[in-house]
Amino acid sequence: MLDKIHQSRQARQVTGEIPIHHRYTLGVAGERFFKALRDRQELLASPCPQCRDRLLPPKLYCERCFVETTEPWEAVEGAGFVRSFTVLHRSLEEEALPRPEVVAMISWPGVRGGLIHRLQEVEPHRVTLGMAVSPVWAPQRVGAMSDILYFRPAQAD
Amino acid sequence: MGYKNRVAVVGAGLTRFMRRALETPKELAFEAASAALEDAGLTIADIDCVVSVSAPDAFDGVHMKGEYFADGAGAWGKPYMRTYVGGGSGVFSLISGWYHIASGHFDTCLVVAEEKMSAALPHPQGCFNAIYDQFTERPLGVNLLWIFALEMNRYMQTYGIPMETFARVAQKNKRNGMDHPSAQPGIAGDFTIQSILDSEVMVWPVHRQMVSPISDGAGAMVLTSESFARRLSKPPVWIEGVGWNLDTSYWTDRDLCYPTYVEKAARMAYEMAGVTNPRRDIHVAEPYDPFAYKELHHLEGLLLADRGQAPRLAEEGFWDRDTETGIPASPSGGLLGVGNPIAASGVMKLAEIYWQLQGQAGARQVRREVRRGLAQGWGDLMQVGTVVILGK
Repeated sequence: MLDKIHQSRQARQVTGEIPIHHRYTLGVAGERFFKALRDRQELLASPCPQCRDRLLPPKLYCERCFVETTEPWEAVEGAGFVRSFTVLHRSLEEEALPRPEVVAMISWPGVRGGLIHRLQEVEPHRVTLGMAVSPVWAPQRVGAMSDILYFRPAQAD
Repeated sequence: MGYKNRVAVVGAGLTRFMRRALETPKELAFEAASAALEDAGLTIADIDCVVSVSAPDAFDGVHMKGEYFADGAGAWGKPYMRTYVGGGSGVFSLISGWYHIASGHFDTCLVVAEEKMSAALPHPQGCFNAIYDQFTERPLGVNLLWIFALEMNRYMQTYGIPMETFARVAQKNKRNGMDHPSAQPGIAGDFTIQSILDSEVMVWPVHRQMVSPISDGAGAMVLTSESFARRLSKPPVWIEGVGWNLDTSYWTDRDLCYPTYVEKAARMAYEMAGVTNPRRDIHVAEPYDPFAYKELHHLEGLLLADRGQAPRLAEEGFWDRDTETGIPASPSGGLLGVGNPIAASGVMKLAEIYWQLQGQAGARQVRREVRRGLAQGWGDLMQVGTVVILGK
């Protein structure tokens, strides 16, 4: 049986691709979230009327209670905190990065969810769980995640 | 047959179908799922398990999209699975939900279908190019219309079916769709036979007005065990029969004139439902109609007409919504009259049979009395047939 599979190095190949690319709508909740990001440098959360959780990024519905979220959608206030982080050494294509990069999972007190983003202006070995962080905004914003350039340790007030 | 539970349909919900929805696939799924729960008078807390269906991931452009939109389908914290038989998935969703409950393992199941074709550029047909053999067929630039055109031509020439008859099917479904609240703008309408015949030939003999559109949308249904259904205020509709069957993957090896796999799926469902004479026992039908000829082709495979005779019956008005002696086919408007967000359109057809049996179809309610109806889907590599029989 195994003998039937042979000459793999001489196999002819054809190349191909699925001839398609995509254009995604942001959705009802996404439109509002990214507009607030662009126009007001705010991170909106949507409240569930049933469990009272505030969802970030905001959703049209609470997946747990399966009801629509309600008004008002309010911006999270103050610094976020690092729930977890990692240090990248290789790129998506598995190439060595010129210098290690920190990626953090960031949340805010009183919200369910959070954001995953880059963490800069801090040495990787100095990052700690619970560290307070805040966004650094792009000067020209377009309504996308790249409107936040990265997060950095929050300045002590 | 040894099933633990008889399975009831107790609610259905649809989004509007549209060319390009602002909503994400998750949001579309949520809107349909919550509408179905509301129709059933239930909440997510009443749901034991969730089944979702959607056609190829490549349409929405999200890999593993069943997992991606699971939260919109109400699957958080519940047993969940996506089932998949391509374009036949919509009708298969109820079969999948059925065996979750028939097994005796669950009392309630929320079934959700979602499709967002508008995300795919330059055209969703690019996805279909890649379902064909990468050595023999793909290099030709094949798309899905080719196989339909070859099949339609073989069918029409074998039986000498005039093009006007196919136009009449499109006219009927597009008129029916005018009464459907989910109908995609611009799809339904009162078109003359001549205007349909005059529409652009896309891939001969397929005319633009004989093809369903690209659509976004979602649909959902709620299934329960008999004991659960008996506690609800609305009388249930029962899943009386289910069937599915697959033809060869080689499109060169198929009988283009006749969908044998649809017949096999139908016979499986008829046997389970105890239907011995489908033309007497099936009172309303929702055959899969992404193309006008396909409705006729499928009605023959469903044994509701003799081979080559569905077109003649169409000319006589046998399939019309207001028939008193025939079998109304696609009273919803079908894919030609409501739209074709692939998996969701199968659920739209099932929902139509459910509403027809409940007497809830409003302006679309058929004239004749209905106690049993069927919906049929078709898809995969254009070789799967899926059939569900509902009765009251």
